[in-house]
Amino acid sequence: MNKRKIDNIIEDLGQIEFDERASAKFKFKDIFSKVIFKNPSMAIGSIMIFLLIILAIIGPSIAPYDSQELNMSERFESPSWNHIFGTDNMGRDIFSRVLHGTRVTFKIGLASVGIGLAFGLLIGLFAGYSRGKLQNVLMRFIDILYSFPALLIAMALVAFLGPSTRNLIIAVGIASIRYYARVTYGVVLVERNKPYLDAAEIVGAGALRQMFRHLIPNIVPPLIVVATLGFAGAVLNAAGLSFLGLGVQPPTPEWGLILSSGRNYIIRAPWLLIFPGLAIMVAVLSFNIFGDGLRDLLDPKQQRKV
Amino acid sequence: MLTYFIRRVFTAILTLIIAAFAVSMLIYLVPGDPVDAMMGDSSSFVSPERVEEIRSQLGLDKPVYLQFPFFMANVLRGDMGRTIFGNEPVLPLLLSKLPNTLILAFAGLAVAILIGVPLGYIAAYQKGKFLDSILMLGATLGISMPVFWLGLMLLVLFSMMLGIFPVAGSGFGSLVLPAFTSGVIAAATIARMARSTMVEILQEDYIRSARAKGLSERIVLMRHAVKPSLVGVVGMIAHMFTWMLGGQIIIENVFAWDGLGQLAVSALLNREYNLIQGYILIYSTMVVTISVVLDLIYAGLDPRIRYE
Repeated sequence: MNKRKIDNIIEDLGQIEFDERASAKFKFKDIFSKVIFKNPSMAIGSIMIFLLIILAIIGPSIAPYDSQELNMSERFESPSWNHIFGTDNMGRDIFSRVLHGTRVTFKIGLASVGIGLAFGLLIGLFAGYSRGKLQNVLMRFIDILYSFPALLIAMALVAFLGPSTRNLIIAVGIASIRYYARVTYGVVLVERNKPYLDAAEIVGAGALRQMFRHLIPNIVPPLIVVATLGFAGAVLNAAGLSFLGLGVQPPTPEWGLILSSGRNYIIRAPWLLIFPGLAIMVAVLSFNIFGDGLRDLLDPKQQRKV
Repeated sequence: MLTYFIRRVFTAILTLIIAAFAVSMLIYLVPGDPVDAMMGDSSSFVSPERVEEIRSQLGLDKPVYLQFPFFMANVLRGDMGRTIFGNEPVLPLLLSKLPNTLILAFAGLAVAILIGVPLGYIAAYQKGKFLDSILMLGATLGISMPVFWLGLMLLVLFSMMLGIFPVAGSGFGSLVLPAFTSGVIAAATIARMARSTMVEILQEDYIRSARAKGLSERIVLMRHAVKPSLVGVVGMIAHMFTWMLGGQIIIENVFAWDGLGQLAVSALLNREYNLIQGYILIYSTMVVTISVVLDLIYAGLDPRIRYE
């Protein structure tokens, strides 16, 4: 690093402080003026997610029936006050099973987003920070992964690992690594040219310290957006795989699985299909709406860009 | 252009080789012995000779480092092994199902384009108005809807209650529902992308100039707005096509459509590892071919890309 560059950076240091203050876009007192009125989709999305989280926590304990309890005298009951979502071929209460499924879905969604985000973040971070060979190799690898639908990658992994909840989480998580890696990479490429990184380097921060102490805190907002939208995608893919019999195994009350086991009784008891499907849609929709709104809030220029 | 072409084909082949390598290694993910896992409960009925035969077919009698060369050599000879149950050669079996899958994918794509692109453009033109909010709410619902759920609901409504379309089969009548289902889901994504592309274009200076010089709104939209948006639209349609080929796994299963996806799911459930590997390879080849063709179209449309 030559002298002139150092001078420039020292000159810039005053600027950085100012920039940081200006870029603290979000203040708590703005929550009404900026979020709820200007961005109703985010308000609705956050309320829906909040309710879903509550259900995931207390759902199983407020469920009217045990989700596994068999009751052969009450098979195929259509929705009524006793069983508001009806009962299945073994007399199990669908409402209780769907409620219980909220927790299962959150578990799968959070764990697989965790896997995808952790590895994707590392790959994107190293690729974006390093110049040259490593960057090329990593991003070429991500490009290759991108040529396949996530569902297919997850399916191939589950097929060989064997179907179970744990393997479903691993497969859906691995299949989403490319997504987080690419977003992280894109953001890091922009951030790494900002003066605060040069400043960190001057005061002696090594590559790892620059990446983990300085870069990561600055790329958190876009990562929250992609993780929210990624959660929606993970739930959808996991439900699809469970529906095909490649994910969660019976008798766990997972929404895709409840739906698929109702397929044989599609005429006799359509409620076995309707309610778990609605549950999947509401959950995915909440996260999509919230993610869209959050993106608009953090980056007004990118409004509704897909 | 020729250099670009050669470079692009070279990277495509490299991608395929890496995909083939990954596919050949998948067998090592199987916990325990793959052949035992394949046999499952029926293992006691199978002769040890047959077990050895399957083992050598999968290349499991060779050391790990020879697995990939062995696999690749067989694939290049057009030999992807035989199915365990039925002892059919894998490649002809897969190819016989391919036409049905392609028919469904093209039909679904047609539905997706016809619905998604116009609605996305209309939403962009009406940006911020009531119609835009309704359309985008619909599109968000579409991307949040599980495709199998929509399929089953349509099946109940149109095939079972109204009796308009057959429940399963492979004629034209039975093509309508699966094509519509996958088309609607894909249309939601296409509409969102088409809208954001068009919103950007409508803010360009040259649109304002075109209006200012007194061109009719129809000409402004058709000639100045729609035309430049096509490059992006073609790209996302190609992307949706590969999604659709993969999404068929679920759609074909819901509608009992006799294609690759249906075969793949039964292979997955029966642990027909040869067949799954073959399916992924065929799928990869299609995806890579589509992306090469697309890149060449881009390069033809936009000279800047070839000199990148």
